[in-house]
Amino acid sequence: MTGLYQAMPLWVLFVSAVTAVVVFATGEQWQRLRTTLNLSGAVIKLVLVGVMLWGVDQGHTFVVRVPLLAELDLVLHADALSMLFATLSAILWLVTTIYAIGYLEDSPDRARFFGFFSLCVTATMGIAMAGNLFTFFIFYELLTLATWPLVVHRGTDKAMAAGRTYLQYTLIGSAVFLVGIVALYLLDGPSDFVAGGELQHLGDAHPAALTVIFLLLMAGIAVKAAMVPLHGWLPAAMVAPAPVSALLHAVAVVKAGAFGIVRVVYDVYGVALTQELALGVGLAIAASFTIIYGSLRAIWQTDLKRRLAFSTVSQVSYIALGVGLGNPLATVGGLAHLVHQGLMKITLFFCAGNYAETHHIHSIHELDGIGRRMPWTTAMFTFGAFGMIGVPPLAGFVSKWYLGLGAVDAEYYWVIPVLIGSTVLNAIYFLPLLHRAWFRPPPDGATGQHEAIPSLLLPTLFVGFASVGAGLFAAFSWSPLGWVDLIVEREYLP
Amino acid sequence: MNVLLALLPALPAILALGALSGHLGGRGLPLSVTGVGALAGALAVTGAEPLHLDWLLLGTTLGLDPTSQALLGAAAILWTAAAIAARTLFDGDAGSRFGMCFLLTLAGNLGVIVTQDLAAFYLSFAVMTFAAYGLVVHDESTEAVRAGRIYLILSIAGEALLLSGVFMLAAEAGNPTMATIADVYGELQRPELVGGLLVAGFAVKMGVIPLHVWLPLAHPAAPVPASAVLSGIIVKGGLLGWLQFLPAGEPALPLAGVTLAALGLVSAFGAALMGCFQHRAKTVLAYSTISQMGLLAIPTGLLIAGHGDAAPLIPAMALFAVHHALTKGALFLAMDHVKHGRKAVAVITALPALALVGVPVTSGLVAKAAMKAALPEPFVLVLTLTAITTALLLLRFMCLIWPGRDATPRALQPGAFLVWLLVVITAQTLPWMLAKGQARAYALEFTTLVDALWPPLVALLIAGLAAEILKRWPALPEGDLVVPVERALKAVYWRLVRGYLLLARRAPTLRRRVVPDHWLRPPERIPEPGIPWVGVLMLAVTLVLTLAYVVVL
Repeated sequence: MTGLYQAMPLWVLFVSAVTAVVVFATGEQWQRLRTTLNLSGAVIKLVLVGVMLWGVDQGHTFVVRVPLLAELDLVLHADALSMLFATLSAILWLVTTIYAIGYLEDSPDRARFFGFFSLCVTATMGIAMAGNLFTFFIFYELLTLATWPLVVHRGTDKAMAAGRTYLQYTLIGSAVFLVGIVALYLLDGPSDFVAGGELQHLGDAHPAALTVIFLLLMAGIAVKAAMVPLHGWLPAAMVAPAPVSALLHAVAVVKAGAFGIVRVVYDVYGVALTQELALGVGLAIAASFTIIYGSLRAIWQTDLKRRLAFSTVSQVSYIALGVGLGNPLATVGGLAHLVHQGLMKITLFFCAGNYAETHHIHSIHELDGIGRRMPWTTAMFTFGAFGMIGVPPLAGFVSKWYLGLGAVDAEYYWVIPVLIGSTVLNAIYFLPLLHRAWFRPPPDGATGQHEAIPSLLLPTLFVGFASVGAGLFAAFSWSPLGWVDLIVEREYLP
Repeated sequence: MNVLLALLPALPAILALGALSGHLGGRGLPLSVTGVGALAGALAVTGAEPLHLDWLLLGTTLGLDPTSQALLGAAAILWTAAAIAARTLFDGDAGSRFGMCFLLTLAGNLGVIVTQDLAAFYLSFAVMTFAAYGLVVHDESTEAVRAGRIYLILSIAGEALLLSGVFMLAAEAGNPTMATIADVYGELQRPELVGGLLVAGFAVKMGVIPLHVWLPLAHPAAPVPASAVLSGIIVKGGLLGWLQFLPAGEPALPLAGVTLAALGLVSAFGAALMGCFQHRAKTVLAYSTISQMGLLAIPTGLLIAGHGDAAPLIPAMALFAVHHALTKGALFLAMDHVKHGRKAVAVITALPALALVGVPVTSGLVAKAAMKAALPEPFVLVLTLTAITTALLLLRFMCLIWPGRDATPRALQPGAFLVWLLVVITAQTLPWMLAKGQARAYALEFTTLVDALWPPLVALLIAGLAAEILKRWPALPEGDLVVPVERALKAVYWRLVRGYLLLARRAPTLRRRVVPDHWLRPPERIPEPGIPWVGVLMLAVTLVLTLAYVVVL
């Protein structure tokens, strides 16, 4: 019985994988069955993740080890950091599934879509639970392959081109990542993720080799995390349907990249070694550059989803910034942003989807007066936008608060202008949208409320209010911030 | 009992959702604001023990010190009166939006008054600032949108300054509360830097010259009830920020404090004089607010710089703030009734106008007397002299609202008129009731009465002479400085564009080799300089200034 309990990470993966297979098998015509399967899969997974969350909080260990090659094991484990990502994706998967069912109503190829959708979440779960770099890499690749059919789902020329760009970037990134993993294997042999860093025992031996390997690993992961100059695929990939964009930007691909950065810095190299080799500062500088560059590019985008995509480029690097600064406060900010950015960005993409689906709005110029026609969606969009700017009580404020504190604490004062600059730039590219939506009259002939259908609106409301709640109740111990405090405690005081 | 403190900001925020959904509008909204106002009023009378909520935001402390208690009372009266005056604005197509913004601004404003820790104060301040944008641009005219844009640009600049200061404070002390703020400054490495950032950040809200330009644009553009709360109580958020998050002399921050006091002096006289050459009554009132807030910036600056005694000065400032909030609110609310062209209304309006000047025995007399009793010597004279400029400004105001010969009197709306009358009366009585016995006695001394009387007489003389000499009354643009700045920014923008086009045409080799082709291809249509350009430019300027400040220290 304890064996079964300890193998929880496996069951979680299993649920999503089985959902994927069964959805593929049911085929196109059994719509009701497919919806039931999808939803029950998501709910079961959420329950399992909830149990594991409680277990990790209580200090239980969850490890599954499957020997693969001579010395390489497939390791799945659940620590506090895994659960941060796993819980986020379990919750958002359920929400997005509901949204996607509403969004893709009456469109073709839904079985294919939902099959890959589940597969994609399986991969995300695997990434969260991976216990060593090798396992991490396997699920990382699975994620790349499972998201491609979602990106090109519409099958238009533009979608196919975006899919090609996506594959070019991610596959080359993966190759570089693999080189890094192999090099590390040759240097240190097989080892699992360890809080505080598995490479700690190497001391100051091989600084040059370790630096090069770090750069290789980071270059590989940075593609998925969309750090400049490796971000080109992300704005292109916004041709995908709204739920896919929401998932890509909030949980799946981009977050997997950010999560990878966190894992490599904390559980492979360790904070001490990263700081010693001055790799942390390098990461922080790269992240800062991305933050400003992404925001600047977002200002001049006229397509709503493209603007949001550049905003993601900028915002995800907050996580890398927090990790790079390498002190507890900044880490809290960065890790909390992993969840906070997910909630806020999924809200924004759901809203963009509602606009597109209900009123065929794609360009920001068409947003005039939409606040009167879709007050709830626009209110949620407003929440998301203010959260991105970092206005309290939204979640984004809490992340920024801790990042700022961490920067002052580490005496990297140059980070403050970066954070402030990002705040101002976010205001520059979000507030004009809000002005259009609320304070311009709707185009002629359009009067009265016309909201999105409930299956689109309810998930949007849920994530919108969640991003307010995550900020407003940040001091509550089961809030994302509370959980992150636990992770940091375990990382810095092993 | 003290749990009710948390309800003050929470209730209007929840009601805002009702307004958004369209279920709360027309009559319901003034009614619910009256309820919130009653609660606020009750708490202002009874006071409340501090309340600590560990789970909220980053650990929130709510409480009422004497200053915030007094301002809470003023807020209760003013917001209720404004909601009743605004009742027709809550109807119609854009009504639910106005209601939502109105309630959120109220939530932020009450939050600013009752919160005592840094994070929650910043939260309330930001909500208030951004929600008030919706009040400013409500009528969607070009003028309102321009005013809103300038308001927003300055507010965001202010938020940015605040946030940098907040980070440094918080890095030292977590989430400091008002009670511990002086100790935190004692431990800071660069207290002057942090203090300077916070002083400047809150100065935007208080309209200290040169950060005042949004006020004369936003106040006239907003609907009358919105201007009343903006000018009356919202700007006081800046004062509370100064008093709560800067040390009152212990440790002293001479650079930040003296700068603030000096700029306050400039504001007090400069804004009043600039206001005399305006042609719209609401703009004149906006300039009057800048000038009066300058009078509050002077003692604040002195306290921060380590001069003056906080014990008598802060209650005097609170009294002055309450007097100004209610009086200015009454003056703005009068604008709805003045337009009916009745002399009686204009005569009643003269009462709060005289009060601002400090004529015996209005509320201004006691408010100014309390300040004079607490201020260091040379500044007593300053206060007396500002009565001249204030009197000139309000003479201008009375000229603008006095019904002309061809005005046809129309019927007043009795309900709204009565509410306004009530505000006028409370504005005169409440400060007298709040003032300590000592201040009351000082206010009624012979010398004080003389000091309060001669400046308005001098002003009358000057105004008479000026009207004789000047054939046509000169005009200054609304928002004074903003006009040349806007022009200069536009010129810079067009020069940049022209330079870029020239480069694109002249450098075919450069185009091919060094940079990607599309970087130098001239765009099909050169956009007018919009928000992005202004913003990026502003960002650059702010960064340069901040860096300069860091280097100087």
